[in-house]
Amino acid sequence: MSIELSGKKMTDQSALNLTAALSECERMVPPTWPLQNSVAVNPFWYLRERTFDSVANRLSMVLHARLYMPVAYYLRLYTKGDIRATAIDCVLSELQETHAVVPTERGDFIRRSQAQDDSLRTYLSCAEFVDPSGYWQRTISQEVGKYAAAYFDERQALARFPWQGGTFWEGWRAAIKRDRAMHYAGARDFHNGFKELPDCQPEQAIEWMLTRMRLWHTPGAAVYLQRLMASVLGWATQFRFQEWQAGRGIPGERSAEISEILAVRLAYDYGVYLHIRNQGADVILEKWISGFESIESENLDRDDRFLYHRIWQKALEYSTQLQLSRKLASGTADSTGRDTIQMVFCIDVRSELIRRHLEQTDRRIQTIGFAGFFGVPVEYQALNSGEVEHRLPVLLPPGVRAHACHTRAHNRSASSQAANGSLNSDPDRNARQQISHRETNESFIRSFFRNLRKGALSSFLYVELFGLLSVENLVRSTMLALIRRLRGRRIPRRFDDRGSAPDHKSMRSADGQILDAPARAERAVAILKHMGIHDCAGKLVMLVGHGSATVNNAFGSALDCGACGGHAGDINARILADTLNDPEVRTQMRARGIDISDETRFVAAIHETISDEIYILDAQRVPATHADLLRSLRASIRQATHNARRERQVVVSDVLDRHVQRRTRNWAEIRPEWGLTGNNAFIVAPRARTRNINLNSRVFLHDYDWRRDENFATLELILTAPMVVTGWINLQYYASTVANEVYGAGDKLLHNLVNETGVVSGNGGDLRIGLPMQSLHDGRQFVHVPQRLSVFVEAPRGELERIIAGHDIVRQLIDNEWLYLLQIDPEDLRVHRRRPGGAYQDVE
Amino acid sequence: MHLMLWLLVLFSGGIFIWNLINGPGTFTLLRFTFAQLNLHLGLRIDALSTLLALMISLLGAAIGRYAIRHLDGDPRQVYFFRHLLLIVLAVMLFVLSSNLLMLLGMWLLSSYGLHRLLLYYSGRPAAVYAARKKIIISRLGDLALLGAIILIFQSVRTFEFNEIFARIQSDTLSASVQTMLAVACFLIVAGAMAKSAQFPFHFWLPETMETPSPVSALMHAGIINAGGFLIIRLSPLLVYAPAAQMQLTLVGAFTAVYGALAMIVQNDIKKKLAYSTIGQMGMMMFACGLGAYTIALFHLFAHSFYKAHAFLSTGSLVSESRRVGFKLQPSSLFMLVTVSAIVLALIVAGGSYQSGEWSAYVTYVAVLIPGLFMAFRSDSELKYSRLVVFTSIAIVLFIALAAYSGIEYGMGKYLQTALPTDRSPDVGNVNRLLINVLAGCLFVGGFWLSRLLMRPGGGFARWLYLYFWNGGYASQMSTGFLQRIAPVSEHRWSETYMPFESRQ
Repeated sequence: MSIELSGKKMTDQSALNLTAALSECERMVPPTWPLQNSVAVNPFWYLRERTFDSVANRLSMVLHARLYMPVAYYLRLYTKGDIRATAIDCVLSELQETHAVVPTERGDFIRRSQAQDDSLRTYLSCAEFVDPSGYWQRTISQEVGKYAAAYFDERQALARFPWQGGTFWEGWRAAIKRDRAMHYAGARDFHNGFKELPDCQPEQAIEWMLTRMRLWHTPGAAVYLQRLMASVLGWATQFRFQEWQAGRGIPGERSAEISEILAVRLAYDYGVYLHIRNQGADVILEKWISGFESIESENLDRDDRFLYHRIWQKALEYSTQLQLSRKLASGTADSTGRDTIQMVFCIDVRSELIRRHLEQTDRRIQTIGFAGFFGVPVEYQALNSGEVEHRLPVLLPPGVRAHACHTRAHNRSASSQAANGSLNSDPDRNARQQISHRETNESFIRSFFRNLRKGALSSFLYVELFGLLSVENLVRSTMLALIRRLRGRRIPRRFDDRGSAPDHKSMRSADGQILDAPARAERAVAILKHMGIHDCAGKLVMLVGHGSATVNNAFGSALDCGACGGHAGDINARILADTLNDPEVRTQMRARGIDISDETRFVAAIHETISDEIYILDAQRVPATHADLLRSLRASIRQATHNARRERQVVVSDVLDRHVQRRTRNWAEIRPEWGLTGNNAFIVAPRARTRNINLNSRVFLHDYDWRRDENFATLELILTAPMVVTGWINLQYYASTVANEVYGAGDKLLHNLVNETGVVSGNGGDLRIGLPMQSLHDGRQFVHVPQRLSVFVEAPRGELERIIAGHDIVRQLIDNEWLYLLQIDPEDLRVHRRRPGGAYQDVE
Repeated sequence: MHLMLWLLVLFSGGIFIWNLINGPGTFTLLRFTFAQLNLHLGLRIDALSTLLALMISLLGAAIGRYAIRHLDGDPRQVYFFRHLLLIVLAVMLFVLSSNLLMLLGMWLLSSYGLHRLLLYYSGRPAAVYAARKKIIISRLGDLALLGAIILIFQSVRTFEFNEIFARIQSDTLSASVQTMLAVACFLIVAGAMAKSAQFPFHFWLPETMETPSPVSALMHAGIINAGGFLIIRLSPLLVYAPAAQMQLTLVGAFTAVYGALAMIVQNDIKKKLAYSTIGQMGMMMFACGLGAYTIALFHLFAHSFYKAHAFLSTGSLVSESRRVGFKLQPSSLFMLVTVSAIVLALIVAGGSYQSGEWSAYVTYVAVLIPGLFMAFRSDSELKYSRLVVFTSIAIVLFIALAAYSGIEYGMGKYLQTALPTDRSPDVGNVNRLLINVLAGCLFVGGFWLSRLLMRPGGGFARWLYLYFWNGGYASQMSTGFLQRIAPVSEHRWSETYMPFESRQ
């Protein structure tokens, strides 16, 4: 049959090009990581070859969502002064060249935008068209969600979906023969409809169904499929995730392709179609089908649908750029004297606040912004954990593998090694084995009681015997803040440095080779060079990772490093500090021309982003010579933490309560912190440019001095890695804000964990992706102002252009306006915006 | 408003202690006569009511405290607190009420409060459907209870518990009055079944996840128990209607097994918890039906706290599932056969005792046994020391069992005054034994089916999976039905409250 069909395809001009249509659908689908290690994903990643505005036009029709804020929102910002008149003028004059319809005069533009209609409902799928009340749409969403959840479930249900072994499509076809759900929901002919469908791949099934629905020859069929895809976008991202992992050599247990869920979604639409047809309502169906005659796929890219929104959005971004470039021009800070203590922070926007306060508090401190995994892309296995954590940006392949060892063994091997200089790992291994044996016993016992709770009949026994223990839990959780306050300040458990430590000596490269001292030294040299402290390390260099300590928060990992798979940076910092303190590594580094003074000591720390505390890790291993310095640093940190908290309270929102510390431990906390809310720019320049200005914790900061960059290798790295990553984070916030129904996770209060890895809203339906409303909105208004990222780079223009030309991804992101590149002129520090194509214009 | 919840805790703590010191009593707060009816508004203070009032107020306070931060920034936080307070107050007065009319009034009031909270997101059609389904089921239960109250009044001419219990123990009831009371007992059981989500009145419960977690916690811990309380409160009456009790035994056992099986196939946590509640409510009713009221009450108590905690802590599931562990495996055939035999043998042996009380206890314990063996099979590929593991588990279980028996014994003593003295109305009753064995068979059957569900091979197992996975299709059927008679459309509700994602 398939041969026959494809033969027909060759001759028939008006038929749908299925391959193209499917790839068009699949492009809409970004991957989603499980909540355990969530990653801030750019939902438009596979659409980056097109311009932002054309994608926004096309998607709005199929997503039923606008990728801009409503015009009223922009008007409000304009009245408040956040959108400047000059910026509007600038955008208007830019658009004059291409769009004759644009009003030339600002007043005219504002008047006309007030009349703009924000509504965009178009009923493309059969389910929506025949029942605008949404009953079928909701039922189908429930049903598809039901199947997708069961298919991917590995943890929640004890009794698994019996067809998990095959593909999703096969499983669905087998199950639907007996599943009466649609029948009882009202579509009585649902099951009969698929009796004639031959055993075939999803692609052929799509063709079969489209043909029967008389859509195969309509020009709008491709758009129809996109609408179907959009209506199950959340679950489709799970299919994409499987593909992503497989592409990185981590095959999942399921072999799932995006076209399968599309075929299933289409099947339900087909079921509704049959239901309506058998009810004799052919007129409605005719009307629905004829609607597709007028949809020309190409026309969707027409630019003027959201012209006014688009102008406003751009004016908002230009205003921010203008404001930032004026701030940058306000003067470079003096860096002399700041050479005793260096603190390396992640580029994360939350670092900006604490860095500013640290530098204001203590004149000895120089802070440095650097990607928060500190150049150590490590696959890490903690003690007693079966799971390997990928503590690295998801766009990178893992570079090294490491595991934890017992602290005592670690100290012993460190001291014995210091004594005879040999690598002695035996006591280490013994200790680990003993622990793993005991841990296995313990975990079996724990599992027994967990299984007692989860099992069918055993749950009764569990409640009888242990149910009352919940009283204690309830009381403890309710009173926790009080208990903790009495016990004082301690390192949160997840960053605990007692008991176990990452073993930097056991590090292996990705191909399994153990990294000896020269290899480690080589990596260390590269990292220090990229950090820019290879020749100016102070007495104390603190590597400050960041992470957030929350309890009972399904979205907890979204508050950690958004790029590093929802992990904190503590382990990476500890590994790097240990490596750099290793005398052997230092000797090897000297052979490579990098002389780190014996006085210099590297210390790891963690910045807890809810309370702005900085906890120093492995502090007991800092030698006595540095004890005084560390003590005075602790005092400065305490002061800076205090100031940072105070500023946060004033600046962000008064809804948050005053007891910051409590938020890290309160199980009821729905909004422990604002995360990266507000992020809008990325500044790649020496810290001296920004030290004197308040960036309101909205800017990613990467230290970079082009004068010390050999061959501009560091610049190339920054533009290809951190810039792309910050772009992902920024667009996640953007999309979650402008179209939360599609790209955001909705209201946290309604969340229902599914498969222990994702959330649905309420009873079920589509998987929710992106950020929950509580991360963006304070209940009265959006706290996040959606803006595409403005990347300010201080570097020569020629080098920037060379790198842009050399990397497709960078070029696509910049030329298609997924982010803005602005050059800080090294000569006069004026800021120039790069326009698509390569022209630069002064932001003023 | 949060403070008022704590005041309620203080109040209920006060009467709890008062009861410990002074013993039970009835306080009439308001007394008025209407058309020759003496209507009272009074508090019945005894071991049962003060314990439950304390429980409800504590749960209310804990949930309220949770909601301060959890609903932070939500425009409906005040709405939530208003109704939380209303419900806690209503349920407290429900358990404390001294007569049937006040009981009915508070029963309705708590139902109203819950309805308002189920419509927290009145803009979400799924929430509206769930609330409507609940209304229909609840009204059925209300009608049954109203009928029972009328019958009781017809037969004993009073609404006051004191007087009712005194009358029925005086042994001077005519045959017609006894028949009326027996019918009333059936209606009470029906009302309790509707309130406590017993099969077939269960299906609305898994669909009520369209509300914030604290609402679910309140519902599953505080309100759904009302049916169980009703049975326990009226137990002096019920012991005279063995048939109603037997009906309760079977319904409870069936619901317990049904809920437990549906629970293990759910893919999302809240539906899983909802089916778990259905199962646990079945277990409570099963205990009530056996006449083991102390056990039922303890179960109610333990389950309330357990479920409140479970609902409020679903967020931690994400970090918890990072930990390593062993997955539960289906039981072996040998174990199935052995355990089934043990369970049934115990029930028969227990039933042959002279005391009905013992028979009830043995039956209850017997049906718990499969669970213990169920949890032992896991996919442990890693080496562990059997000796250490099994000894530790045995020690923990032993301690828990000792504590459990101790608490049960203590509860029994404590509740002596509040519960019927004679709990063995049907000593040596063959019917009773048959019912117990039948209930035992239900549990054993559930044990076998859970094995089938966990390793589906044949067509029946797959059918079974689909059946429980869809919750018996009750949700689709009832929604389809409502859609036909009174469709909910997004347009119609667009003016009402939506989660704030839809309001920009």
